Amino acid sequence: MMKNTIKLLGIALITGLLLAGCYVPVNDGVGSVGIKLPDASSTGEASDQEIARIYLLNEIALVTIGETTPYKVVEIEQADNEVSIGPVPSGPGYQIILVLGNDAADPVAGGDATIFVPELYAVSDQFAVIAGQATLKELVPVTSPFGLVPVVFGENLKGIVNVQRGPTIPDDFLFYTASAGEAIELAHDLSATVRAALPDGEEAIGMGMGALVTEPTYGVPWVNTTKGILPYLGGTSLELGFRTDYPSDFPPVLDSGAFLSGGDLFGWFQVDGGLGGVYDNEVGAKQWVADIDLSTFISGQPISDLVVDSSTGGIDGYFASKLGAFKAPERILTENINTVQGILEASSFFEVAIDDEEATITELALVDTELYLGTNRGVVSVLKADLDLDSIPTSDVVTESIGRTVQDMAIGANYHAILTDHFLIVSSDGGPYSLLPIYAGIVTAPTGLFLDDSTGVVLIAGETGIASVDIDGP
Amino acid sequence: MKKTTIMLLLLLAVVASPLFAQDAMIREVSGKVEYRVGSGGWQTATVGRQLALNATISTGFGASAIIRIGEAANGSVLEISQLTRLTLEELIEREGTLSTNVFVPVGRVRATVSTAEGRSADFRVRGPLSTAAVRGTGFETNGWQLSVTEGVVEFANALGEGRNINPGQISVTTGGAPSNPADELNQLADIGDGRGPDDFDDGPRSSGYITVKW
Repeated sequence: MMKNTIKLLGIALITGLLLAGCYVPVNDGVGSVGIKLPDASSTGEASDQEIARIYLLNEIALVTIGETTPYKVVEIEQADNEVSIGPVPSGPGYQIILVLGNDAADPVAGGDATIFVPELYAVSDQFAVIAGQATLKELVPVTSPFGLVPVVFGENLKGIVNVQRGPTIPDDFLFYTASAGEAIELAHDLSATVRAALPDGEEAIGMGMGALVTEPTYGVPWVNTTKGILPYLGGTSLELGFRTDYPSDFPPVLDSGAFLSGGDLFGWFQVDGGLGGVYDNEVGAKQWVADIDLSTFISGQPISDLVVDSSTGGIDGYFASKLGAFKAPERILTENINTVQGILEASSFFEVAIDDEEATITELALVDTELYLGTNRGVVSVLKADLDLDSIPTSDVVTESIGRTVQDMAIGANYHAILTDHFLIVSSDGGPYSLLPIYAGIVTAPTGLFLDDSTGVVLIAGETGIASVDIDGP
Repeated sequence: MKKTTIMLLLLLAVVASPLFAQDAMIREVSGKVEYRVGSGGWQTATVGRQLALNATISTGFGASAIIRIGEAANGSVLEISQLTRLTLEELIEREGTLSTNVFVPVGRVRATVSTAEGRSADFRVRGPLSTAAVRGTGFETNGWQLSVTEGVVEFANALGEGRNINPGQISVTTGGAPSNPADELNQLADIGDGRGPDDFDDGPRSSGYITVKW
């Protein structure tokens, strides 16, 4: 049953891609743009902080210990630098993340609303809670490596993409994001914004790296909305005409991407339980393919990640889907393979097991000959030329990621940034990985990740703006 | 020749012994409880669900489940606490002995082992650090701590170093030999910070507190 379901998913997906015309490269969150962050402004003194947030993990689960939040909040002056948590079930595998900071006025909500801005943090080792006893954990907070982007502070952002407009022009790149009601362009140094209001009654859901046939030189960010796709021309301009030939009842778009080839646009998008494609050459009407319904099999986004490999002279697509990962070779296109049997024979599903237990592949990244697989049990790298994988021992999993679910991943030639449920895992120049709790930054519910592979700067967009961190330190 | 004959006889004896699978069934669930068989997908656990060998039960925060193993009237009962994973590794009845092995990598279970008259039970709960083996008794363990409510439990670490724990006693192992029930660690000692067990007004008996200081 599962095998047939996987085949059906593969058929539908590949058919969608064929209808869309080609594989689509997507923004994999890695770029070389040269971001420099200002020095952290933290005083680094615990005595300057007013609020403490305490998060309690049990293995990878966040244990709720607050009255209305998963974390516990205390005013430091009243707590006297000591907090009691419990009762909690006895047992091993507990870990404390302590974050100290201050509440700042919420510039978006206004009134008395505030946003917690972390300044210091500490992470305990793993420990056991013993029945009937109070387990003491003494922590030494250090300055948080996370900063924030002031011009979007407090905004509930739906993702982040970067457009490099010319490799020879210094600083000629911009970032694009969106709040519910606006598309937002950020200057290359993250110092200023220009905004375009979305049409009434339409809300942004996410960002995709798209294109327009009228913009042949650069990529164009696509704002995925509750009513379809809005290409963002930057500044105050949205390309509303792009939707002229929409199918009726266009569903909310969860994910999208596109590129130009020979002046023609090839795009794709995901909706709840389905896939679609679009082809545009600006001569006739756009050809929308929006009837690939997979809701019988799955809900949400069918594809969690895809990467395109053109380094070997051809174009291979690697897909991570809810029901399996597979590689689709270019010959599906070049040999005009358009039968179900032909597509199935050409594509190859692959699986990964860690210590003989199957792992679900959720994220992909390509670096030279290696294919990095982000799974629900950690990150492993395999040779892309050999995907007939034996079980991988835990010792070959990125140690810091073992047992953690990978939410997003940006792997560059120089830096790695792996976003898991509670930690950002980073490394520089092939060195050891470091764990940074995302709770030490202002964004605790990430919607987008960007890594500048030339400087090691990581940007995380989310519910309160953009958190930034320099992997090499301030 | 004689050795071979003996070995063949032993082999025949083992093969000739009738083996029956025991039933395992979910009797109660509360909160988010899921199960899966082998590496299959997780499914919502419901009352009355029969569990196969190699089934794993997972309870979420605040959730719990009760499993009955063996006969409906005289079976053993496993009470699975929140944040627990438990795998049924062996469910066999052989020559009147009900053999049950469960693996608890994380979490806490309470076992009440019973059998019909004329039968015996070989009931083992294995954790990463320890194994508790019993024959007709009641106990509670989270894989590294054991408290016995009835009967005698053989409590051993992964190296097989063990000791018998009597009713009303608690023993702990963090990898080494299980502690002596007379040790202070097992006496629910108050560490004198005002947050000791005598200060605990709520929470389950096996809960603890964490004091975070910076």
